[in-house]
Amino acid sequence: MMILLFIGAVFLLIVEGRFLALFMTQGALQKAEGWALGFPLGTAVNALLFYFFTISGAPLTALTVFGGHVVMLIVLGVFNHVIPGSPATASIRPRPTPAGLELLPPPLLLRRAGSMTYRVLLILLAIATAISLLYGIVHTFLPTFYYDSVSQWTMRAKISFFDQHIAFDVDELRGMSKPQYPILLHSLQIFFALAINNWSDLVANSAILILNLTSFLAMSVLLLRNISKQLVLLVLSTILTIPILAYHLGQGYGDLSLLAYLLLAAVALVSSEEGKNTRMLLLASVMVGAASFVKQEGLVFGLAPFTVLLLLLLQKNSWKPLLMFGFLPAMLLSLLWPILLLSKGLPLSPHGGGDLAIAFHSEGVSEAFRVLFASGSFGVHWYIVIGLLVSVSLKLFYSSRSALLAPAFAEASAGRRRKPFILILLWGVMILISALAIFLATANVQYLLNGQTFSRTMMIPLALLLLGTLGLYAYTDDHEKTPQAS
Amino acid sequence: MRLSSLPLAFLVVFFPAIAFASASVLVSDEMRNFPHLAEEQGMQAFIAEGKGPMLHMRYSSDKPLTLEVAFPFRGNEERVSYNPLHVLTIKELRAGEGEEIELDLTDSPAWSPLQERFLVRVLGPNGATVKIHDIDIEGSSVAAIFPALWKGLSVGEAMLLSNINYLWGYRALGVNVSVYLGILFILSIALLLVRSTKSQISNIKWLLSLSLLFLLLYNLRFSSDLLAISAADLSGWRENHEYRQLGPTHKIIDRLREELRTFKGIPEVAVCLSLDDIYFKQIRYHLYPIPVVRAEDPLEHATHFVLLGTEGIGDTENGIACEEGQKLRPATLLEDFGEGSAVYRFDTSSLP
Repeated sequence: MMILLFIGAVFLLIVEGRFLALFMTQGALQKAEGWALGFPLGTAVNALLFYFFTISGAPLTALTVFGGHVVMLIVLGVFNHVIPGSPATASIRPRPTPAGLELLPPPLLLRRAGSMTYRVLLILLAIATAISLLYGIVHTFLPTFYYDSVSQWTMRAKISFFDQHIAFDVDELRGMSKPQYPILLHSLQIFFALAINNWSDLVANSAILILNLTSFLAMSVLLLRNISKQLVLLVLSTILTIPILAYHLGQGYGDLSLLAYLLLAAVALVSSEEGKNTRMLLLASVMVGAASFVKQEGLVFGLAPFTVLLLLLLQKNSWKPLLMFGFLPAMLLSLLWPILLLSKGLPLSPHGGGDLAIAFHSEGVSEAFRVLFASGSFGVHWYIVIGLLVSVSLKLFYSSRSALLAPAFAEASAGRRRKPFILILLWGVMILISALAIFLATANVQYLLNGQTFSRTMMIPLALLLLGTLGLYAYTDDHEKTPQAS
Repeated sequence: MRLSSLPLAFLVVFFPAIAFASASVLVSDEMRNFPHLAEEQGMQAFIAEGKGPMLHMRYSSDKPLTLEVAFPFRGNEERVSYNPLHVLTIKELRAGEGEEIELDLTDSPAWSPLQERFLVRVLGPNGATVKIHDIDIEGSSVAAIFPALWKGLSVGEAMLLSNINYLWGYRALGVNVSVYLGILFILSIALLLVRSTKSQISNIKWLLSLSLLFLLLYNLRFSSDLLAISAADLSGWRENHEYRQLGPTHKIIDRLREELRTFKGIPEVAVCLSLDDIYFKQIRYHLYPIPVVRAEDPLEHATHFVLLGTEGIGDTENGIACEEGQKLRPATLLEDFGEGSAVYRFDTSSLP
């Protein structure tokens, strides 16, 4: 019975999220993309419901929560079926072909075969990826284990489930002390506990695993718009084999879900820019908002760089859609949680004033290098991303079609191919710089020196840089095969 | 060889003793287990200097000893930094006069042929008379390089609670393997780029293959660890209801759940432990909403008492408590899990 209720709750979130995806994108999504986005978006809707229950003081019971979801489901369902031009029928429209590729014969869109060696290596890396996933699945079946899980993340969800309200304890008496943590993951765990009418470690950890896996799945499905299946597999494999990330698949904290939402936002932004589709921009901005509902770092690693990228896009786009579908929704969603904290008289940071104590800590520089290049957290991934970046730059340089640092998204001249993946690359660079600034120029240097948060934070820029670099590679590869594009 | 900070007397021995190569244990292999209840021990530490793969020590002791060798990478005479996971330990060094042991330093992934300083600690029961006659670092470092490389690679990730924050990786000859692979990768790219024509550079599929190769080389090792720990964690849980270093913690939680199901009254569990705070947090999380408090606080309202990795004070008849100065309360032992771990129920008559 419990498993049926659990599956039913999963399906509810998927359908709700799918309706929202279709409503937001107004026919810009293919069927598979809508379904793939269902769970991550449904989880975001769930977090918003919990947010409104929290500010309204309504209890978090099965009746209120599932009642809220049913209302959302009906509203979104009606919007999708009644409003003219709604995606109920539009979703079967053919996927828009990426600009510049429309002249390609269809097989070339999928042809990135490469050598046999490359294929064999890719298959082997895919096996390593499967092992990472297996680790995550196995550890979902084991009791909640890690420090912050039993003292902040899952503990807060459990306390809130029994309280029927989101807990805001600051004294650790009951087991949690950081009410600053946003509630997307807590809400998801409570949602499933309400569905089975009991607290279960297995269910709580499964909920997070499903969120992470479906987010990566949705990212892959969206990427298929732009790059071949083989390259999507390569992107997925290189990201999921980052050692510290593989570890976080098994009962990690919020870092992985934050990363997953940022990756979704980045891929949606690329689709938006490539297809000049403002509705995909709306999807990207909602994902940025969801990231801020996972961890407050979403403000720094999501909203801030997203805003900078929108400002860059102003060069070739009118400001109104960028504001209406990009900046405003992302800012509104991202600021909801900090506003609630302030209204409750709580400090925004659980680290006191240390986040704003600006001073350069030179002692952290060598440690940062050691962790990135000489520790087990990243294996050889940082070397690989640097090597790839240098090589892709050289290729672009030699091909003389455009320079890597040119604002490719701005289409400097007619006939020049846009390379929207450079947006992801820029996003990754901005996160890298801001993360290094946080750890080297504030009191957060302590979390670098004691090893507590630096590694798991740095997997976020690494994953975005990998995605951006490999996406850019895909486009440079297109150049070789697309004379029309030059 | 030079000894420093060594207050122990030297003894001249007139008869040769046969050195025995002792099997050492790497601390990282033990840290995944529940910590044993340790008795108080005296300790002497000193720095041994020299290059080589083998530590040779001659000693006399009236009690069995424990020897630990750490590999400092930073510091001075007063204070050194070393990775505790890479410490080599020999337990139960036999008592006797003029005993000799040899310790293969290459068993630790921190050993390097360039390592010149070793932190040696000798631990023994309080009151033991110990004399270190001689200690040498010896052997050919060059010959030891390849075996040490292999042994280093065979040492897996420690797979501890802290791994969610940070992974140590694999070390060989004192250097992280990611450095070897990373430098090799960068050199390979540089070499290929230098030897390539412009048109070859344009076709960079070879670069992807090279990147995949290096990712695979690292992940081959890491994936084997992920598989091994998944299998070990799963079987440990299914067979013994134990999960990594938590030891009997979940058995204690289950015993308390069973007890509290039929308990009349308002329960409160007090936990007395000499271990890391995570053990307390585990019990508190899993038993929630039953209140779980630290037994260092007054025990007035506690109905149940948990000892975890400590012996506590007193006995069930006269009363038990966590530490000196606390009021002893009579209790009934519900279950003893060994290694200083047990669950008690306080006599309800002792409640205020």
